[in-house]
Amino acid sequence: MKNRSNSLKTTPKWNLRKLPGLFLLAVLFVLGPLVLSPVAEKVYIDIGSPGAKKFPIAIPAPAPTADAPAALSGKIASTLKFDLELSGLFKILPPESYLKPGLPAGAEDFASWRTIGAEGLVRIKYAQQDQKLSLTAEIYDTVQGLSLSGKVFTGAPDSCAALTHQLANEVVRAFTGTPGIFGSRIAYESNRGGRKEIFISDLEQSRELQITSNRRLNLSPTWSPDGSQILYTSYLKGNPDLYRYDLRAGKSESIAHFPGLNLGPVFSPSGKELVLTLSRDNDAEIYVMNLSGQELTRLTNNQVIDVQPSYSPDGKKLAFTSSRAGSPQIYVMDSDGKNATRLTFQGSYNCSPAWSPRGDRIAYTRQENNRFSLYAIKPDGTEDTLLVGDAGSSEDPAWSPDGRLIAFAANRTGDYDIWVVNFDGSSPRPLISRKGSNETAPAWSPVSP
Amino acid sequence: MNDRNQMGNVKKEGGMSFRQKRMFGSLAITLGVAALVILSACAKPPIKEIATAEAALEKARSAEAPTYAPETFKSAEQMLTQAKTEMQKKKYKPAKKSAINARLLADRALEEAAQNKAAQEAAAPKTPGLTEEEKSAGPVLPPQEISVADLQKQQTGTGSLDEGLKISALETVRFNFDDFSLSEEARQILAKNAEWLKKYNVVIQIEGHCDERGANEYNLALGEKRAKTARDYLVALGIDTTRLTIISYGEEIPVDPGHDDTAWAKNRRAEFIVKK
Repeated sequence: MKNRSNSLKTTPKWNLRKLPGLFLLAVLFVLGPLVLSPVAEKVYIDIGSPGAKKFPIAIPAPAPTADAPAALSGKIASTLKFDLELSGLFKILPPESYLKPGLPAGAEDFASWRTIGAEGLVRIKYAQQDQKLSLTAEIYDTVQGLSLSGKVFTGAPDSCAALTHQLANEVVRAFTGTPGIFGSRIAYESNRGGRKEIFISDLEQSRELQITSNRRLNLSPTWSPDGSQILYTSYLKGNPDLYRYDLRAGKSESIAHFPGLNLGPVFSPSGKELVLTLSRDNDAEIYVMNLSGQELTRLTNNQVIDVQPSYSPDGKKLAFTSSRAGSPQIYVMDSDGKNATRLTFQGSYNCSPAWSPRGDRIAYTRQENNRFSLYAIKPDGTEDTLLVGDAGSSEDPAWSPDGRLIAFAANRTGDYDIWVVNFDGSSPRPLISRKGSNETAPAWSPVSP
Repeated sequence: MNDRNQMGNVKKEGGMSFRQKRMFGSLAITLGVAALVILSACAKPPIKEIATAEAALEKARSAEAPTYAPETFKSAEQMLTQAKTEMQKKKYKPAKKSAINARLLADRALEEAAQNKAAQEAAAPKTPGLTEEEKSAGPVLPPQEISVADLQKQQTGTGSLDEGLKISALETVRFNFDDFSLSEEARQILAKNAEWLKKYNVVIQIEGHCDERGANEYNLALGEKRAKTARDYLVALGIDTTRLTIISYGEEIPVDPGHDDTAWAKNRRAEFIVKK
């Protein structure tokens, strides 16, 4: 009985000791969600609304630490500025206006950033140690004084540009919810040597790679979903055959050489099949082919021209150009060729459909009065909208991997260059330009891993 | 005073009354007509049989039976005519028989024609592509060889990817926008080109081109249609298809770099390049 009375005596003490813990738990339980909620839920930039105001951010000069070369600071800053301005989402405030640009001893003075109008802040440090370059980014919401992201990007000493692109993608993700597309590249045709050859360039046009140099006419590059290969059509052997260039091996090989045309392939989203145009059965039709070129299934079957297939991002449908109504128009069919329905009813010459990676729009080209303009339409045929039609011709639309930008060929400056425009048609601007030659048929690569 | 029955007919003493005779006559006629109708109903007009016979004759005709089995074919035709005449005269049973016979004769004519044709061709191979006029005009020389030197004498250029020879004898054919059909002028040019090709044994490549308006891939397909249309016309004019290859360059290789109607008209073309 003594034990029982002892335990009875100890129980109240035990309860009291527990009380502060229980109280703390209660506080955390009530206030926790408010404090610890993931800040990514807040939409800083609503990129879905057209004509969205650019988000003002400040990017003080990247600071070197631990023997890092000072010269890299300027390179990181200019690449980051290029990327973020290309996205069309940000307004980078001029460094001259920064009140406290230097690395703070303790916490950031958010008030000093708010004063100059910055709603976001990107603080960058970089270091070079043990044969490795690393960039550290701290991304802040200056209005609420919150840290949105803190990440380190590491790579070989010569990988400054690639690391900066990764950093830029993280800045975009922090403020919009989905990562940016920097580090991606554009493949295109250029006739600078007299006949069209295939080239690749990074978005900043700092490094250009020539894929073909056979002087035989090379057309219509397209990327594989993993970005490791480029397909194109070439008259290397006197017939428009399909070739594949492997970026790692640096070599091309023929993958389809049926009699007649072997044109304009697109990969299915799974990457396992190609949809392309062949004229082996007498006139231009659309076929599905497996990658080894062994299995071939015909999707269209008529006496008219069917060309330029483009997959929906879920792989279930194909948009394409057909002249079955008498002149070229855009059609949509199931990916097995069934249920082909006409999509475009305005204009007498519509072609070059490109299905947005977000699935909600199909960009295309309309010819009016001997000029081309860029349009976009919903897959159900509604909201047929002009995107770019103000000057010269705008053709060959190609979406960025996140569906926010469209690259296209424009000749408003005299010769054709690759331009880019926001998905809603705002701010068309040059991207890959070269005086005295035509750069055409852009294809946008996936983001490099 | 004659007795008149209800119908006011004079009634005759003894034997059938006039009315009764009339009734009997009407009945006989009715029965007779009924019999005829029934008889003719059993024999329906042989429309199906005649149609079958006509189809068989048509088949024999396109197999050249009039040339290769003239007697049998004539008999078949005559039999069909007979069948049609009989049907008009409503002699349906005989018409049906004649129609069936006509079909049998037509089938036989088809068989005979095939046999005779094969026998003749085995004995003396025909020169392909000769029209009736050409056959009746006498033997035609096969195309003769032409030297590279002679070709170079009339060379005006090369193929669009620098291969082969472009010569003055083979003129370029033009097309309308977004169209691959042959105008009258195009046909005349092709006829002239065909005459030259009949004389000289060369292989040619027909290039199809477009003006710069339009999507590049669409224009590659359109250029191909232009080249094929030109080729098919040359074949119809008697040129052996093995001497003609086609290729399309779409809008990629214009002759005139201008951006107006004149330049565009020049670029919409099919060119004929000698491959040597």
